[in-house]
Amino acid sequence: MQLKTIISSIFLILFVLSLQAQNTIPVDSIYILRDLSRDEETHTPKQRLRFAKRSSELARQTGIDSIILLSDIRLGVVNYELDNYDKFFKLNLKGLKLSEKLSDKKNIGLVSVNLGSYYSSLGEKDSCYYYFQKAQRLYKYLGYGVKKDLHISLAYIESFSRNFIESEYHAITGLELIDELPLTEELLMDKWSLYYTLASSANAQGHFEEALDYHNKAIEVSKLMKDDEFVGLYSLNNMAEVYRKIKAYDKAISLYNEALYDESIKSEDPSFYATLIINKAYAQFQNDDNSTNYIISQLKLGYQINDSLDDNYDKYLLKSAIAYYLSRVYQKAQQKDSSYKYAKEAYATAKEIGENDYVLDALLVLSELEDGDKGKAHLREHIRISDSLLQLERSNRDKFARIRYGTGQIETEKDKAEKERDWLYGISIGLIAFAMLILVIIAQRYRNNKLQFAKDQQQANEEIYQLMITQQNKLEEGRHQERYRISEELHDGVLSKLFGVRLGLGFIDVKGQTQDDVDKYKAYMGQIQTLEKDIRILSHDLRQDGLSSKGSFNEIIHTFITKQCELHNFKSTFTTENSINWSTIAEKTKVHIYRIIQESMHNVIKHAEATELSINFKKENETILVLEISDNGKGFDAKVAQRGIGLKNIASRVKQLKGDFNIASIKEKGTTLRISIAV
Amino acid sequence: MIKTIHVLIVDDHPLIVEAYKNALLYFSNQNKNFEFVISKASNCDDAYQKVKDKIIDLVFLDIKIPPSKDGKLLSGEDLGLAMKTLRPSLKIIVSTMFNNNFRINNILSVLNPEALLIKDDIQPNNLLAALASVFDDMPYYSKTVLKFLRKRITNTYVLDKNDMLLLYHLSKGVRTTDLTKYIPLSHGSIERRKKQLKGVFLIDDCDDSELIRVAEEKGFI
Repeated sequence: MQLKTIISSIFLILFVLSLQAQNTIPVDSIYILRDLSRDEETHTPKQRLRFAKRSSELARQTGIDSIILLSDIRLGVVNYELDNYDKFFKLNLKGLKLSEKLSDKKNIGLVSVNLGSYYSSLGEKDSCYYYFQKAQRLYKYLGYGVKKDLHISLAYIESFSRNFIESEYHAITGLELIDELPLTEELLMDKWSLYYTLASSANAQGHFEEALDYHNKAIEVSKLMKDDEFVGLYSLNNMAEVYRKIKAYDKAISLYNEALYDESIKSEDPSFYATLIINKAYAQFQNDDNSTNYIISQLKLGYQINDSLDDNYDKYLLKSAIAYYLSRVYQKAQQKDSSYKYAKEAYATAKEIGENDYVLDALLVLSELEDGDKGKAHLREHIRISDSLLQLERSNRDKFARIRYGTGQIETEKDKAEKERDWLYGISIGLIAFAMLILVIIAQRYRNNKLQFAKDQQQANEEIYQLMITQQNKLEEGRHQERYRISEELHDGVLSKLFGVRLGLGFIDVKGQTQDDVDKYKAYMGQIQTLEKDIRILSHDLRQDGLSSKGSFNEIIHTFITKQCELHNFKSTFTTENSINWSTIAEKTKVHIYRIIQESMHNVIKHAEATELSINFKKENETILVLEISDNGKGFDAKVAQRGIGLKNIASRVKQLKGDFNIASIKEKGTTLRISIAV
Repeated sequence: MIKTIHVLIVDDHPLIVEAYKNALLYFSNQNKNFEFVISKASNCDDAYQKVKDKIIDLVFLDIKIPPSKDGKLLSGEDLGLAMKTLRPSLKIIVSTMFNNNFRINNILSVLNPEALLIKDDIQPNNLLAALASVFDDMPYYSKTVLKFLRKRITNTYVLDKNDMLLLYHLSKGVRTTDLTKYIPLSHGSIERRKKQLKGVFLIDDCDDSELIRVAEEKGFI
């Protein structure tokens, strides 16, 4: 253990030195120091104090208030454990200022409880009241431990102010809080002290059985402690006092004996030892024990022991008690002088420390000892003091009742506020969730609309194409019909009639005036025959023409290209491999191909400055349709132009057709766009 | 001895009928031993009825004439066949405007007339020659028909009836998709046949107009 301490100390020194060398203060080191100051098992209290101090110093160097605050609080706690209450008080005062500056509610509450506890241990009720009220206001922000401390202190101070009902309430609340925490040695002590307080309250109210019950519980708790510091014995002492009150002196004496059984108490806690022996002696006296001398000697032994101790409140309290006991014993033994002397001493001592109960007891003895006016005067004083005590008690009770009431009110307000906040949170979360839902729905709808739109567009495209085809077909049909009609008419009507006329003329025997006339006649006949042939060919051609115009996809493309070329003044060639059967290719594909050609024509016209354009459909492996569009324009950098909207459109169309698409472009030579699609 | 020949002229154009009449007159003037009794008909029903009712030895038959009302006789070919059945000794001179090889082929193979004249070719002298030839029991073909026959004899292609139909309808400008209406073949087999025909004519990878052009050249249409 020792070695470990040394090693950790060396480590710490090196650590701190290295920190100073670096002239930076890592916050981690402060945390480590704080943890070390908390480690009761490995380090002695003094070491822990050193760690806490160092942590506080380093924290101050960082200049970060929240770190300073926590380190100071920690240092305060270590000081408290070492009974340096002044330091504890000062550190907490600083802590209060700092935490108020940071408006750190949790720590305002914590230091307020600490300060309140400090004043409560001093018996300064007003200051204590002030801080506890402060802490109560922040009750909701306090941790379990701090709440518990607050209730313990309140239970104590209420009991002290004879406000037993309130005390009981706080004690029980404190016990409930303790039950929710994991049991530690410290908590056992707290638990014991709460039972002790409860027992004292019950005792003071005359609920003796209840008091005994609480004392028993306190003793049970004390048995669980590893290092009970005689707290069990304190309980025994107080329990015995209860028995004394109910005149069960035998039981009281046996309890005193039980407490005195541990002889170490004589050297460890002489004041308490003295208390035990005088109480036992007085119990014996009250039990009508006749060994007056022994009792007096025991009381005097207690008196001597007490006298040898350092001056403090407890010493005077005990002195007053012993003096009072002695006066009572001497009074019974008819030694009036001694009785009077001790009664006076008890009165003076109690008055000095302001312990009114003891003053009253002493005054009662004095009034009994003295006759006449003096006795009456003592009695009057007795009455006056007890009246004023009642008064004080009442006003105290009111004051603390106000704390309780205020706290209750604050708590309900807080509950209300919290409830409102919860509602607010709930509603906000609900609203946010709702908004998100709506957003999701909108997004979904938007996406659907987009898809629907794309679909509609696709459909519209196909419809337009279909319309184009139909239109083309109708036009062709009309033209065809008309041509056919004319052809028929020429063939069957005109031609036949002409033939009839010629043949008729042929059989008229033209004699003519000269041979020349006959020759001319024959020549004209020949001309008519030629005319017939011409008409026949014309008729035939009119029909034949129907062959090339089939209203096909080819025709549409061809028309488009021809028109564009006429408009923009360049030459074009359009070839298709005959094996491509357009009627077996999906309309959708054809629409895309048409649009691609449109788009690339547009590009060529706009950018390429070309004079020749060739569009070529080929088939590869029976299933792959290849479209090549080449121009002799100025070309471009294919990589850069990939981002152009036109090429993007083409790319997206090719992608929809699940085809491949590439551009080969040579500067000043031209561009070839090659698209292959599986059909 | 004067030979009296009953002639029926079937044509829906009065001018033509008149011309034939003149021709016959001219012929009888030149050959005094021939005498013609001429009757005329302008549609299938009329013509058929006349052949049935009267003695007719010779028919001038136009191919393109109004069909019979019952729809059985649609053209001169049908009418000619029907008349031959009625009167097997009947001599037929077909004169037609059709000068395409397909029709010529069809007329020759189906009807096999005593004379086949394409109206384009007809002139007074060869019409008279045709008459003389027919009366002399010798078939007469006009210039175009002779050319066709020559082509057919000199080339070695063997095309069946469906090939001929296909080429014919293609040449008429019938759409590929509509071809199945005219030819008893499926769409696929029509395409295959086309390809095959292009192979036969050694014009692979050409479009249909080229096919028709070549087929015409070779005398199939």
